[in-house]
Amino acid sequence: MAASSTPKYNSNSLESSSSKRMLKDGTNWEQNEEIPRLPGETRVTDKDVIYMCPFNGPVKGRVYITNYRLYLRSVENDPVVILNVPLGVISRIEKMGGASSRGENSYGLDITCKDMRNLRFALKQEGHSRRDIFEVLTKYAFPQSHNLLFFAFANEEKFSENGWMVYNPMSEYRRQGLPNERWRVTFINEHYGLCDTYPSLLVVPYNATDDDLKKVAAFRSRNRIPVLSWIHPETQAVIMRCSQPLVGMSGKRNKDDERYLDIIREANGQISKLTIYDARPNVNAVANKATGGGYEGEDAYPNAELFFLDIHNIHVMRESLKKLKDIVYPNVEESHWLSSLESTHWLEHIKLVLTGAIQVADRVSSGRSSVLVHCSDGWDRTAQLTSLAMLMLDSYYRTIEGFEVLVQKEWISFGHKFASRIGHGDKNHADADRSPIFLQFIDCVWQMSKQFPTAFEFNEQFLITILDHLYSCRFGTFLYNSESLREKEKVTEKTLSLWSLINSEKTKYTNPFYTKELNRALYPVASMRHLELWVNYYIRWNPRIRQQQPNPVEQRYMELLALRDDYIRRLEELQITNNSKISNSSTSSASPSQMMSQVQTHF
Amino acid sequence: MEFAELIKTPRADNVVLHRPFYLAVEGTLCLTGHHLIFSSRRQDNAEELWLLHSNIDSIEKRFVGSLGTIIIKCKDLRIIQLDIPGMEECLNIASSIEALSTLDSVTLMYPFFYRPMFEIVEDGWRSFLPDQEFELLSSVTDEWRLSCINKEFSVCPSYPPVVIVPKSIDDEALRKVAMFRHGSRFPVLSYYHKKNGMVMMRSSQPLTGTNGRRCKEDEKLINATLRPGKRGYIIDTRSLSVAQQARAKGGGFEQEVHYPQWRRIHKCIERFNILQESLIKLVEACNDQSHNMDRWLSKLEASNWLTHIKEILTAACLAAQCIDREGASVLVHGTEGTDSTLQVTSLAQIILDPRCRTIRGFESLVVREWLQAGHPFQQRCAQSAYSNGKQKWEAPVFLLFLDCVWQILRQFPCSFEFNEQFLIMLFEHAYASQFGTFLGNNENERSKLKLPQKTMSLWSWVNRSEELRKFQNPLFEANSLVIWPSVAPQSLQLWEGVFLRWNRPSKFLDEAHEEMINIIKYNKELQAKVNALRRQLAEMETDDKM
Repeated sequence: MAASSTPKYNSNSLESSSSKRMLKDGTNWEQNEEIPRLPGETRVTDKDVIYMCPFNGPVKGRVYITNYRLYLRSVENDPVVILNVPLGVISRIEKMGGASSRGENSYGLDITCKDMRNLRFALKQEGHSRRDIFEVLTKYAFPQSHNLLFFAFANEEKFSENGWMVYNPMSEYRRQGLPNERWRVTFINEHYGLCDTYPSLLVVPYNATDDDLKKVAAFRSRNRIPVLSWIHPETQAVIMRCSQPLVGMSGKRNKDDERYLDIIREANGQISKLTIYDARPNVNAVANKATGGGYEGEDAYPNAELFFLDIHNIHVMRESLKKLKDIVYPNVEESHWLSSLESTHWLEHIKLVLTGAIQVADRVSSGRSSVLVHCSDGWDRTAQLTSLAMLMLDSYYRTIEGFEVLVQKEWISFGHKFASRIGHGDKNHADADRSPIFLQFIDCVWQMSKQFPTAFEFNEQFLITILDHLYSCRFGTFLYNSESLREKEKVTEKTLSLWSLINSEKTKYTNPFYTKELNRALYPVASMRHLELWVNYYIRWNPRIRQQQPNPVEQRYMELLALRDDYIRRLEELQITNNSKISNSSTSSASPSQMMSQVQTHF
Repeated sequence: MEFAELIKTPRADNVVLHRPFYLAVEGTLCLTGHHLIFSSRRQDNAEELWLLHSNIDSIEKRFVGSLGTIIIKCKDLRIIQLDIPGMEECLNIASSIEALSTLDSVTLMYPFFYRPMFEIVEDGWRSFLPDQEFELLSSVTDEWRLSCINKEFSVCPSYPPVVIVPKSIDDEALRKVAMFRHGSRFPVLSYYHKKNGMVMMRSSQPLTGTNGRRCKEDEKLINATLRPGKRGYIIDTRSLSVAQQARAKGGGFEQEVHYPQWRRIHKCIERFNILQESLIKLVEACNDQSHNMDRWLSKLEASNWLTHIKEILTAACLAAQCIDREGASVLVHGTEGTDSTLQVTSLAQIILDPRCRTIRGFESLVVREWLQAGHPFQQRCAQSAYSNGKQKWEAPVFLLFLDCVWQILRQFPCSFEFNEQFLIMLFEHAYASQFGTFLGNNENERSKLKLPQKTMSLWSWVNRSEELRKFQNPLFEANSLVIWPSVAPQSLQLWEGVFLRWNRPSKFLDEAHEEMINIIKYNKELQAKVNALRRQLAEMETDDKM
């Protein structure tokens, strides 16, 4: 009886609307124009293709390639299927099938993206039809491998805000109350002579001379000496960041480094030991001795306590994300979803990063003790830990502007190797340097925003937009590995900042539930029970997964806020008319201004 | 029986109460016939904890020297620990709690003793009567009638006295159909879809047996709901093999030859001990305090709880789809028609009918599709996740239904008039309550116990405006559409509000909720003021003219 005609409830949902998705990225997009184009974006080629949509089957359409994006518009479907993909998200382009391949739609291109999806286009199997499109795509998707500039350098967009002005290291340190009698600003790295992966401006203990710093640099991997990231306004305990000490197999010691750490410990007048958090698993730290690295031994640093935080390295994280992609794209693993998710270990890694950051924050805040954070080079796990701890401790970083400053400071200026980790414009998709460290950080921030719905000024769309432009190469923000390289390439002069886009339309990225609150430390629950997979990001390409954009709760609340403003405006208007009437007719009645003040004090 | 006989130590001092996420509190413990009361008079945080004995699912005792410890596990899943000095006191208290929490006579339960402290505005026992429901139906169709065939519960002991059946079928035929259905639960109307006039009926399995018995009246009854030339769907909540096996015991399913206009679809929904074990495993995983949480997701999966949610929702969506999209009538049944059948029919109505997403509409749904329809609450909710006794009749059928509603609510956060707290409140009261609403297994038992005369209805309490306020969803915007939930595993989540309720700090989520309630309240005030000023202005204008 279970015949083919019996209705079946779609295992996912009945959201059959369409797979039409447009990047909501402020693109100029006029109805009569063929494809959206940014100022500075130029058309390169176009071609009839069949888009092998993994959700709705083959879609006939025309694909347009510009120096910025791949844009596909279907020709027969209703509603129209549209793909709008910045070329920067492309990780790998492969030819599938050959001239003699049999089977329908077996000849074409297979594109792997960095943002959790793959694209597949089938072409006609005649006269090398894919050759030119393959070459054009390869050229513009991987400009670095073809001696071309990123699109960011051609982008001529205009914004009302200038995002490059958001972060000024001097004003950020001043906001923290620095310099003070115990901490000073040093310009020793002004021309990146001390450390080429650090910013030019650094905050160090007052009692350490620039000469001391040079000696310490010799003992720290890639000269990344311990410098201040954040100071607690009350306890004066600090978060310091650095790279591993160069202990090596022979267990080398360095008096200057030992003394320097002691100066840091003494700087907030504490008697207890300095806490060192080594982000790595213990065994990895030991293994690093073989390559000249290591960790602070008890004998050499009697005034320090060392804890390992068991966070794995970039390779482990890359593999974990790859496994996650396998179970969510194109088809979501249904039968053993939870155990499959568990076997990717993605959430477990998130948990370890968050747990580590909580420990750092708690030590500084409740423990009133300064901490030193490092991993091997101090630009991946270290950045995750310091920035998350700062987010937990300092409510400024939970505002839109503050978060931009945090990213700009702890990630961009302190040399998280965005170029290597993301592989901007680089065709070597299998490069072992690539790793989703920054994505993992944003995921941690999202987990926190879920647990504290009123604590963050920004919404989910803000985080997703940051991740989209982490890959897009439309802005200069995440390009290159270090401040010194960015300076050399004149990034701030020749490209636009992502924060220009965001700050020009802040309402779109604002969390309506945000309630400004100062100086409350937020400790998320990092138990696996309270962590969730970020479905709206990792599974967003799947049209069958219910995701309502914008979030209906947020939208409804915004409407309510707008209603409030409307009422207030109408009240004012009525009161003005009433008042004039009253003064005209000089009738004595309840004073509307009294009413008004009552209303206003409420919020 | 006097409760005093069961209470040897009515009071103990210097008792320490431990709860997760709270500091330990010292205070006095008192036992009464129905409550365990702990009160602390400390100046900085005086507090009282009142726990119904009937809420206690299991109790354990331990001794270290003369300090006794009692661990109380409740049906609402909370666990508390009491340290009681003195071995004798502790033993006495433990045995009293054990006895008082397992009273076997319904009439000794708290609802028979409870005297409300609030003014009764509306008698909840009379809030949702079948006649009112039928009146609503009569305004849109005249194809149905109210039958009083079961007035004395003589035809079907688990049905209410009046039921809605097709007009063309007389009581004589109904009597014959009742003989042909398990427990005499003949097909009755569950839902009428105004949009296209299609209906959902529910019943129990037909008693076809091994030799394929048939009943012409049964066929006639359900065919009466079909439009000429149209097909209907029978959704059997058992797998085909289970349905086939049922024939050996006299049960069975509708044979195609005798029901040619109907297509049968089997959608397996688990029952009884499988569900109970699932709940036990789930709660075990949620309460696991060990630090190694790496296996959490596997444990969650292994409990199968979310799989049951998915199965139930899928079947309900299917029923709704047949009615709304295929334009066909549907008959739903499993074996007895008192468990999975009701999950499917009630959830399908939430999907299809906006009225069921309002507070009153949902209450009416619970009354119609669960209480009057004869879901045996007394048996199913006798014990919860901490029960050791393997009694056959316990199963979290109603909790699964509420969880499914929560899943839909989460996916459509603005389409429901009620909030999560409302669902949690219903869960609590189904298991332990001062109200009589969920006592008894069916209307027959309730009428014998004279519950409407002797106990207070839950609805009398809930529907007062000061209580309702707690259960209103500030974001509600009436949505007249059918809402199709996603049942993909990524869309289904653990209901933290119930299962991690006692294991999580919820302060921050509550804050966001507060914020929304405030803004709505504020908007109402503003609107009132705008209106007042308008009136004032209008008055002045008329004054001017004079």
